[in-house]
Amino acid sequence: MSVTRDRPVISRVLHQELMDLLARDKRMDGRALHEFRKIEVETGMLKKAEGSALVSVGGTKVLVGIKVDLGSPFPDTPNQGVLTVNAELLPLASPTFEAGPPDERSIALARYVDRSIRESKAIDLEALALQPGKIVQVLYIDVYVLDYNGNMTDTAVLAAVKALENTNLKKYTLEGDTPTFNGELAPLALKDYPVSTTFGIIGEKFFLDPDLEEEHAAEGFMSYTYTQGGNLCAVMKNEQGYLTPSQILDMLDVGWEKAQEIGRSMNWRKD
Amino acid sequence: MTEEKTKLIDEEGLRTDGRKPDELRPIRIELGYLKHADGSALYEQGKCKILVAVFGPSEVHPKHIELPDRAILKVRYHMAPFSVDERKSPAPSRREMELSMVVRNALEPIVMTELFPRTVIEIFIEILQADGGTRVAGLTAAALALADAGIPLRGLVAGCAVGKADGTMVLDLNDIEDKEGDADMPIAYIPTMNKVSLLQMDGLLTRDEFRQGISMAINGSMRIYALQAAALKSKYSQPENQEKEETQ
Amino acid sequence: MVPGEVIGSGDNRAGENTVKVQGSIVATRVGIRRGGPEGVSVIPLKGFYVPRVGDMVVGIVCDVSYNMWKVDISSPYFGVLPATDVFGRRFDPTMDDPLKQFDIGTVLKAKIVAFDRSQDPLLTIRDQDLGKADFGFLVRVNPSKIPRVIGRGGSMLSKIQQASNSRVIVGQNGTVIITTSDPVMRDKLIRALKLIEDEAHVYGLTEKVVGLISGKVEEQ
Repeated sequence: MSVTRDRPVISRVLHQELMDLLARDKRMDGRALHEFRKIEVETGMLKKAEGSALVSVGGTKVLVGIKVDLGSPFPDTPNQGVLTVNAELLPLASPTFEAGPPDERSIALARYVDRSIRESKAIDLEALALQPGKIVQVLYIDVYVLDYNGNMTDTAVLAAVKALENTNLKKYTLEGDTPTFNGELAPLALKDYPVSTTFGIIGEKFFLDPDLEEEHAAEGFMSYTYTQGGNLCAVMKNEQGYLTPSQILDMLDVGWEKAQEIGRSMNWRKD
Repeated sequence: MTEEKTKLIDEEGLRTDGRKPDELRPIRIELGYLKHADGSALYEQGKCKILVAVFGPSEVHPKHIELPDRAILKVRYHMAPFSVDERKSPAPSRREMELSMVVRNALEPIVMTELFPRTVIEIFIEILQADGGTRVAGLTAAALALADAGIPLRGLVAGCAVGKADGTMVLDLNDIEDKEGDADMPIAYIPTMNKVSLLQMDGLLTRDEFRQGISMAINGSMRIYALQAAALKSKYSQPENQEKEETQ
Repeated sequence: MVPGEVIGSGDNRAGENTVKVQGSIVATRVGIRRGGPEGVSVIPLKGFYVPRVGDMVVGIVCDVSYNMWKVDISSPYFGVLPATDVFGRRFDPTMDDPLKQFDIGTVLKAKIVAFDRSQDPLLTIRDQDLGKADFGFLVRVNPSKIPRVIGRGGSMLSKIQQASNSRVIVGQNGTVIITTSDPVMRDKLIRALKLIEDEAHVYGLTEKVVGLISGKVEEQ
């Protein structure tokens, strides 16, 4: 059951200032309309995880840990390893997050990160099948939102991809039916690097990477995930508002420009 | 052993169910299907069968979740255990939780919640039979049920899903196309306002295919909206409801 | 008209069941368009009762506390009847027990004295003809059809009462009390109310209704 959530109260004065600035294509923190906040990436800091990354976009911090285990494949994909994404909106990240089982926001975030990675075919799932039909490697992607200051979506996708880039898989030899770890590690070779770009929408205006106040004032959001080839692998309109078809298409183009910028800064593309 | 991939589009360009790429499945609407609910609709689209009930506006329980300036919406998108090929557990899945939220977000802009502060409007969407495109079909049915309940709306929302099957963009996905196609893009559109209130894409599309898909989906939604309007109007055109329309 | 359909340009006054969207006036409910010099509105096919100050309503007590009764008036909001309204300002909670006065299930005829969006409608039973209804049969009528049940200047209602030789109490909230103890007449009155609901704007309705009650005309 999904229930309307109470929105955090923002003062009229702040709201008015935000709207006035937007009308002139300006934002409260001085950014351009389609500019990301400062992005910081740190990888490999979790020693017990097979891969990890901590990404900050402005004040939003997301930590992703990758754990790899052995398991059985899904019956309808016997030749593929398993990819599973879970997200936790930690209570310490925001006064609006409560402890407890995943709520609709964390589930929606996890599923969006999952689609972004899965549909981009970034991971060769067939390479994870050690013994097709019987034993495969299971990749657990756990998204931990540590500090929420707007735009968890893009931060989480970036952190997940960086963590995967950083992941080392155990190499196994099959002795009969039992796989044994042969002592070697090899990097999980990613085949693509999906990048997500999220826009806040207020009336006719839309703006990239909303910060916390902008999120509270925004009527709705659009997220687009692009592969490095410029294709779309996930799209999501989030929260309550609505937008025109032409806004959708305008954001599509701006998003791709910005995704390429991120790709360059991460050394995922050279152009 | 790899199975041969199902052919989704045949030599004549027809789909597995004989439709052309831009053809909608047959739609059947029955309003006021449930006598107990304030508003209800039984909605069939191809092999999808969906029942929606609306209650309210009414008092909120527990009181602390009420909002002082508007009504809250409670939306439950739920699939019956017998609605799919392999029995689904009745417990809400992660997918149902996400879809409940996405459907609620799509309805919020059309319901005039500001007219009924401190109340709740409950919308229950039960998928009795699923065959692709259930979240947007459920949403379309929910708009009908809300109108049937007499809850003031800014407009009606109608939705459908487009996808990519064997390289061709197709409108109103059926189950096979959803599962084996290359993309699934549900959209919900408010024709009287030219606004989109639900949009998701799952799969791989070029940006051009995305643009094409949007245009196709909006066109499909407008055709579905026409059916919604017709169904609602025919309800008050019944002989016993004959009223003389007065104009200036 | 269906919700969202344009009913008039933005220059018109937005009447009942309409809203201004993107410069035009649109319907918000399924219903019939009404246009006139005073503006455009929609007569809804289905609507629920939203309390208005001054309305007489028929409700059922659904909860009792030490100082008030909660009354179901078939509206998104419950009515509140304070104990002081019945016991007076000097009411003593240790002696005056609201539950003994009106218990749950009691039918009340009450008037709405206050209502705004921040509080539930406040009721009174102090006026003439208000108070507990001791007997009668309750019928729910679409609230948007109540004006037709009453008729211009009360004409329809008085003809109904005359023809049936019984009192019919009409709450603005759509709840009607039929007081006749004759089961045949009661059935006729129920059918008459349904007839008004279904044919509210058909000409000749009054004659048809009176005919039904007096038993002179075969109903369809």
